[in-house]
Amino acid sequence: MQCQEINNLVMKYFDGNISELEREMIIKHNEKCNRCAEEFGILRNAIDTLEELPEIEVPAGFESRVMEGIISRRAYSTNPKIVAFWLLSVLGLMVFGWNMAAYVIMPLIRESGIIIAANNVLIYGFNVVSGILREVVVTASMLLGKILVMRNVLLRDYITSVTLIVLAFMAINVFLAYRRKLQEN
Amino acid sequence: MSLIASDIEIVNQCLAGDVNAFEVLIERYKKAIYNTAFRMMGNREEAEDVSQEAFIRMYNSLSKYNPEYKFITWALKVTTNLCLDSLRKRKAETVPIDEVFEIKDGKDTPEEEYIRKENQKLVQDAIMKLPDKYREFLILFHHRNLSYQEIMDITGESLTIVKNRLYRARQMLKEELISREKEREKYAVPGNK
Repeated sequence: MQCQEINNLVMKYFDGNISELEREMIIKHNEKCNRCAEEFGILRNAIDTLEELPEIEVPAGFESRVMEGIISRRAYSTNPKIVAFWLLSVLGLMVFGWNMAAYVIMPLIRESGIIIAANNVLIYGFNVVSGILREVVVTASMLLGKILVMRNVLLRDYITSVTLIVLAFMAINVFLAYRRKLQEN
Repeated sequence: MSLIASDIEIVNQCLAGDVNAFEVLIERYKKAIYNTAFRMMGNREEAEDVSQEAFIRMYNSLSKYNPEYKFITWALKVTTNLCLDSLRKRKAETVPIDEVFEIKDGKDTPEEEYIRKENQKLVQDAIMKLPDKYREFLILFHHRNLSYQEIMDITGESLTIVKNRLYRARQMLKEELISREKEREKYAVPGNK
């Protein structure tokens, strides 16, 4: 019998799934083959030792430390539902913010810049304080005007702008991914 | 009341919102978990970190626990995964191996005691040298005395892979020990046996 075959039987032996006959074969082979006998002895000693390695005591206060960990971490739990909720909220805020910027704040600044400048020249001649007051009145009225104008914003413009933004985002992402890949290479 | 049923009862209590019920499960399995982690990591400090983290993870994913399996099987699955994760992370650093000896009740002679200690140290050192994946199987099968089926459940591997890994692991252990033996013979004083 070859040593390799015996080696396979030895493995079966340690699996605890060996027949009486196979056991005999190992014993017989080992009587003749010193090398196998020695290897068997070493492995058997190791496995016996491994099986009897002492169980060590768990450090005192283990449970309470785990419980502390559980309780303190529950406050920041990462429940997928909560994460999804936050993501949606942030996304919603971003869309809202964009709309405000594109259709309310930007037009307001663009147009009111000239008017207020002209206004200021007039106001400067009279009174700074009344000028400020007037400015407030003018701005407020213009704000009202702009809000009314907003209704006239066309759907087509809206869609075009959003598409452009999405494209820009995609382009930035592709660019970043590409650059990262370059760096990795 | 059987042990399995009460494990599930406790799990259900926890799921119903009773955090403190979990302490019973920790008490019940901490030894198995801590010792498995200890044999995987090789030192007490990391073993405690890993086993604490394992219990916290278990608590947080209790709803994913499948009562078809024994609780300990699932617990060991979480633990061994964490062990493998942190072993992968530490890779570069060298970590001390704690030696642990059992204090026997004086049945052995001092020589026997000495030999046993030496053997334990040798085997612990040797299994720490094995690749993590193989050490895991040796520990589960030979140290924790688990069945093939349980190891399959814990590792999620097929029977063939479990058998193969064990085979390879023992082979590696044997080779490691033989090379140590040779090393020792080389440096041993001639004539001193």
